[in-house]
Amino acid sequence: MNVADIMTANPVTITKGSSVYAALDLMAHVGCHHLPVIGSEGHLIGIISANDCRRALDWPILWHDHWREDKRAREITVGSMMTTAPIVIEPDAPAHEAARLMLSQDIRCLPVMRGETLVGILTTSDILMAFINMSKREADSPRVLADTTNSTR
Amino acid sequence: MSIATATVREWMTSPALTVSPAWSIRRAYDFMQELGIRHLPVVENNKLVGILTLSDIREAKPSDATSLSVWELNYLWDQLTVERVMTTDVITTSPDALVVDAARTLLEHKFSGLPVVDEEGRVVGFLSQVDINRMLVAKAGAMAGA
Repeated sequence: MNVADIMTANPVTITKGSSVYAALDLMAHVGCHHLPVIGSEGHLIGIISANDCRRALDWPILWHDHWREDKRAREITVGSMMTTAPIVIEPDAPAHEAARLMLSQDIRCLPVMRGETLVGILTTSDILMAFINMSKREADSPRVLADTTNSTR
Repeated sequence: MSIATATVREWMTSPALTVSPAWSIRRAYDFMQELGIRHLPVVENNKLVGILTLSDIREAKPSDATSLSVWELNYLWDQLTVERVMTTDVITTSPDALVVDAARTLLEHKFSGLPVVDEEGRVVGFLSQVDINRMLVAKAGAMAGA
């Protein structure tokens, strides 16, 4: 199983000249916490997280939708807050290598690059999904699934 | 050892880090930042009574406020207790559950971790996405062969 088998292809990206407001708005729309940043040549030049945006606004937390009213969100650019030269992985790398890299580097998101081209993004959710699918295939004999979740009030 | 049969007990982080319902949001938030985590089981008299997540903290506000300054937010965090903002309907897992079933629950609810609770309602550990990644890396052979 390789990275290409479990990644999310054609990820949503943002340009470095966009505002922090645009980045947060896009994240809220897509339901993610990281966006690959694309330079003028169309190449990957960085990655921006919701936490980078929070730092830009100098708030201890992204409180509600408060950032929508913060003037700085429209003034500060993605390029000035992003992590440049992020750790990336190739689509042909084994999936467990991606898991190991995320664990050792304490990151939740890896851009997937074939040469100079961004072809996908891999998050911890993709890895969980792969694990579940793998376990399904492994359990070829029928077994009784215990109800593992319970609710405590 | 197969990845499909790995149990929560084998891979959970134990003991779990917990907070008391009487803590201020400020203290709980600082604790989370220090540990680099997004969720804390809330425990009283050895029983799980709730879970506090970064989202709970983000949603915390006085009922009449539509906007706050950073100063007001800091004041609010000193005044509000964990009990006031925690989620009381907690989804948990048990030590004997399979990691793969816990993973399914995490994905379904978009959680990053689950408190592990024994039959007596005691929190015996916490299973996070990082713990699951740890298991997958340790069993990398199984993944490579799949």
